[in-house]
Amino acid sequence: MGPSLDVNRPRNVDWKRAAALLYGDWGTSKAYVIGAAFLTMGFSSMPVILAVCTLTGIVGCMYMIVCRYFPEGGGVYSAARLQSRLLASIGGLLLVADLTVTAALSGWSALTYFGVPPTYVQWATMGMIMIMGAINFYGPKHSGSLAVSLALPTVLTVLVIIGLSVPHLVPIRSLLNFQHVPSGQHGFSHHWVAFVNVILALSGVEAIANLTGVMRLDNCSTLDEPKVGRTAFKSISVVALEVVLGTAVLGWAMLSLPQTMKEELMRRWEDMLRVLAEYYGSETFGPVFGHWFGVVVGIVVGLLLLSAVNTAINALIGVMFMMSADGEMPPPLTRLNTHGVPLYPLIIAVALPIAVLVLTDNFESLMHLYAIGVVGAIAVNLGSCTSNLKLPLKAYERLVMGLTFLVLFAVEITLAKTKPEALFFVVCILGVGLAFRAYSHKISGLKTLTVTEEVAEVVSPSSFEKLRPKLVEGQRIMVAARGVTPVLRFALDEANLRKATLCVLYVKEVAVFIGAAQRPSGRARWQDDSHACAIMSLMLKLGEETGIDVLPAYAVSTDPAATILDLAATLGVDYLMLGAQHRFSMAKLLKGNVVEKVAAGLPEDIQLIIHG
Amino acid sequence: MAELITSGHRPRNVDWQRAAALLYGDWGTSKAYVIGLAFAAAGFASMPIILAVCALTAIVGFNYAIVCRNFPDGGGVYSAAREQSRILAAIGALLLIANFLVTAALSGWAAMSYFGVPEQFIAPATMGAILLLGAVNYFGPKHSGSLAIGMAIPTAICVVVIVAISLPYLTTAHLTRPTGGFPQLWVQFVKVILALSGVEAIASMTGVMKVNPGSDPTQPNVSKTASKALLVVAIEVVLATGLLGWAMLSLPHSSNAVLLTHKEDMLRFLGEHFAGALAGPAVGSLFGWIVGLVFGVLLLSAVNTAIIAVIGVFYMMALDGEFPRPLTRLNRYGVPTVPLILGAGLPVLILAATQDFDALASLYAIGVVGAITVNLGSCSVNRRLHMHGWERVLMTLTAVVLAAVWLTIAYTIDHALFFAICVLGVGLSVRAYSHKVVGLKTVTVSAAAAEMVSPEALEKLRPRCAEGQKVMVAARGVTPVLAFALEYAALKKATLCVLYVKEVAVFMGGPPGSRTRPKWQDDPKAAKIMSLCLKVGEEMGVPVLPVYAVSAEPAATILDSAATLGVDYLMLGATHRLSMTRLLKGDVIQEVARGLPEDIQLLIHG
Repeated sequence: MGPSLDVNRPRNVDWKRAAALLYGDWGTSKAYVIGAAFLTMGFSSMPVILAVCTLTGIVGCMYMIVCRYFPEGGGVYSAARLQSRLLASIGGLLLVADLTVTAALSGWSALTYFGVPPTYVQWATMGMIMIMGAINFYGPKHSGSLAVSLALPTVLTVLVIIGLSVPHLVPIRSLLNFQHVPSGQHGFSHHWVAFVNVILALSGVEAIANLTGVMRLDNCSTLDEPKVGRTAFKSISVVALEVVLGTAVLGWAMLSLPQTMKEELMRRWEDMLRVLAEYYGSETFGPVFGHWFGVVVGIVVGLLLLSAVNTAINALIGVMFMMSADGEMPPPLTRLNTHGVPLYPLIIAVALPIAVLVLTDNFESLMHLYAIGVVGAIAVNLGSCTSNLKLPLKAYERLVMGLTFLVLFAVEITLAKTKPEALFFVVCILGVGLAFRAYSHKISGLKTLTVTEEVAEVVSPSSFEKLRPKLVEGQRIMVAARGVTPVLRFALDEANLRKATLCVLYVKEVAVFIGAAQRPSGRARWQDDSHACAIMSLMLKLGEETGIDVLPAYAVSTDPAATILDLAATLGVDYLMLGAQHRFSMAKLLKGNVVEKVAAGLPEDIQLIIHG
Repeated sequence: MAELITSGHRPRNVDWQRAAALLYGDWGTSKAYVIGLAFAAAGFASMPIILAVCALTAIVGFNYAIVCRNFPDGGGVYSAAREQSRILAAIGALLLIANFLVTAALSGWAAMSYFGVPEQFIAPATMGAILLLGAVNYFGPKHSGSLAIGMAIPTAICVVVIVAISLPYLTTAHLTRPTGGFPQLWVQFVKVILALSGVEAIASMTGVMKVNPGSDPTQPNVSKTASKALLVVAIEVVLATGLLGWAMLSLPHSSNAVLLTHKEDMLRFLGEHFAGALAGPAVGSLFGWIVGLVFGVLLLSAVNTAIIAVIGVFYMMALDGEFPRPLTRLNRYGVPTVPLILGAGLPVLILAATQDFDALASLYAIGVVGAITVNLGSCSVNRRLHMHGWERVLMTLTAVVLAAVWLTIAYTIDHALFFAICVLGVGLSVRAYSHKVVGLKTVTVSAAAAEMVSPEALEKLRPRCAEGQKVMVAARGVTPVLAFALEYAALKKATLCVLYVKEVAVFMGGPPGSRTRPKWQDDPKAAKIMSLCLKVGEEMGVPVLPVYAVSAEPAATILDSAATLGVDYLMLGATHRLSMTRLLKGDVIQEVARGLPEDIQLLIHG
């Protein structure tokens, strides 16, 4: 059996695209954070809003560090897995809890911004999530771009609201007090609980940490030693700045409204940005403008929130797929449909938010469930990184990260104590998830042992990895196979004639948008893929008969064309052979044609042979 | 040179009566607060709830008889779950710790109520009682642990008398139908499940129970002892709780307010009321006082049992590497110091945080129901256990019902889940730290790789002990008796077994001894003696066989080891003992001399 190759996913996400993707989640937070703050503290909520902004900024900084040290994906699962598989699963499940509520919450908020009457919002949100699920059956490539294209209009909208409100802003000093808080609710503990209730703007950072595996590399870094610190820094800093400043200034604008509007603000806290747009639009250009500006803001923010639902569903699919590929969830969860989408994770990702919506019939209850998952996941991530002495963190970085972890841990404990339904929800997710994990280990023949470090070293996968034979360099022909097609016979004949090594490449198309980067347990194996296994086994047998060195190459990718190009260039092949085939027009429309993309992107020095 | 270690067996000296009495000390106390809480939950409609709790108690008792049969060396949740996974075992044990901590606080509170302590002083008085019991336990649990046994009969008599004097007044006239649907009834039922924790205590005890007649010592069977003990106590608990509940609900509806006032000392009130109705107020008052005293003392003994149990679980887990090593450090009375501090300190902390009987009761069930669910769930999926098909089905169903109960508690009772999560969180963090310190690592590997490094595989490589003529010397230090024994063995050309018994005064929690052998190399005092004997033995040409045992009863262990190894001579050094120590512990030599078989010669070296 010949050796096979590890293949990198294409790193085609630059800082702007990463920022836009991050903004699609993080940027939506201001749509409900300031309203939630008003609901909690009324006209005294400015200190709380500023505190939440500060925490958001600090967590953003911490994730810049995390991204720097995890260029292959630095979500909670990857970071915690270096400490323990169980901790990684717990972190992953907390993220599942967070994303489930994010989907439900963003959907609810979107429909509120669209102006759907409150009595129908719950059912409309469920229907909308189902539609999102149906669209995602065909892969996330196109629906996933919604967030990217909506980023700019949303930023513009936020800037216009801020611009219109500037002349009406009251002095900030007058807002930095708790004079409107009812007596009996003063003191640090009350203010702390209020602060904890408003922490709803963090989940996006986990999304970007998962993206580092597909981010463009920094200049002067190589594929062998990838660095994405600068790309991550740029994207996080831009979005964090917008989120922090945008939320703070919009909060200031909200608290500059006349106090006679208190009742209306309490009633419409769910679509506070629209209220601000209507009021300041009317004040500046009259009621008609105010009304229509409110409609525009409702549509833009509503659409961005809808894209956040989509992002959350995709992220849920990604997390479950990643965990199941790593043996932490049952193997059927890795089964893909014809469009490369994991079917069971898709169903679960749609069903979970709907189940949450059925059980909670109001926005506030959903908000209560939200933070416990994301704060828990971020705390696990930062805690794991802080205590990981193998990460070359600078002392001050470790110190700040440790302190941030402690603050988030205190937030998590407060959430657990003050919101029993949130604790119950997260315990249910963890209980069911860990039970699935145990079942999955059982059927995969995995066993968890607690042994001494020396014994652990003996049985570690890395020990076996050292025994694996290394690849021998030589002249190569690469054939990209999608089935047992005539191009394979042609490639074998060519390799025989030219006395060349034949690289048989099989790219498994996985349409999982986020989180597919991680396969921490090791590389993808063609032996585990029945389709690939059939092709490779046949080619190895034929190669042996005809005296040709056959080198199986197997890759899992969301973008097959880019992967073929990447691998052809990396291996320096002399010929690349592709089989032309008929494609259904629908598939072509949604996915594009691999052959066309490869032909367009292949370097001049590699000869392309298309076999039809 | 034979460098072998022979683990000593703990003496199996707990017969079914003693086991039943120990079990009654915990389980029997439940009726002291169960019926009162049932009344608080559902008033005169609480009869179905009381009966449902009794039925569940009986079913759980039956399941534990199966558990005890399958785990003759200790079948508590830790042992049962450990066969599935170490982390599950740790979770089960931590839930049990949560339960024992609340049991200590709750029983202490109820005891003070039964003693008639004024309400405003109950919390501080309970804290004081717990700290006092902690101080008494510093000297070992041997004597304080017998309190429960001594109180079993008086308590049972009190219960029988209350039931008897209430018989003429029993009526169904005042019972009312439960209002609300099934969900409301279920929640009320769940809130009254407070009578289960004792079963975990008896399951932990099987390692010291007398084996069935004719049972093979290498494959002990304690099913009869365990079943008898469980059966007797379960019948008493179920019948008495049912009848006392009926007696309570036979009072007129006009007593509603009074009954609610006495929900914490309901039995005392019932005794006082029915005795007064039968023989006048003076007799009623006197009988109420007696019932209060008896139940108060029994409840105090339940506090003591809970503290000892907490110490036992901490110690067991620390020995198994799940908690830091300092938790295994013993004081000179064989009591693990840090677990003792935790066992007494944590219930006090809980009392300080709650300050209310209802709040304590709400924290109680989540721990015990969780632990029992983990135990029964682990057993029902464990294919290696010998069970009939119907037994497995029943156990699975019981586990499912208890899981539903646990979820209901978590959802409906404020702060219970938070409490359990805090205990689990802190416990698992300490566990992770402990693993790091002792150099343990948890890895997930294929079953084949796991097989390669299993303890059983390593065990096969261990050399076996060669038989021969033996002299055994029981050493407590580097004393003249060792030199005498070496000379004697050299003269007799015999193998010298040097026995060192580490006295551990932990009442429960022996089971891990069967899994992780205690090593004399880890015990500095034993290592000193053994190394010296091995060195001198080598010089003198005497084969020295180190024998190391950890035991709560050194005398019984010496006897057990001497008989098991078939020694010809047993040598003991006479030592001076302080009168206080002697009073508390008895003298090992005297006990050995009394129990040694005729065919082993005893040499006491002074």
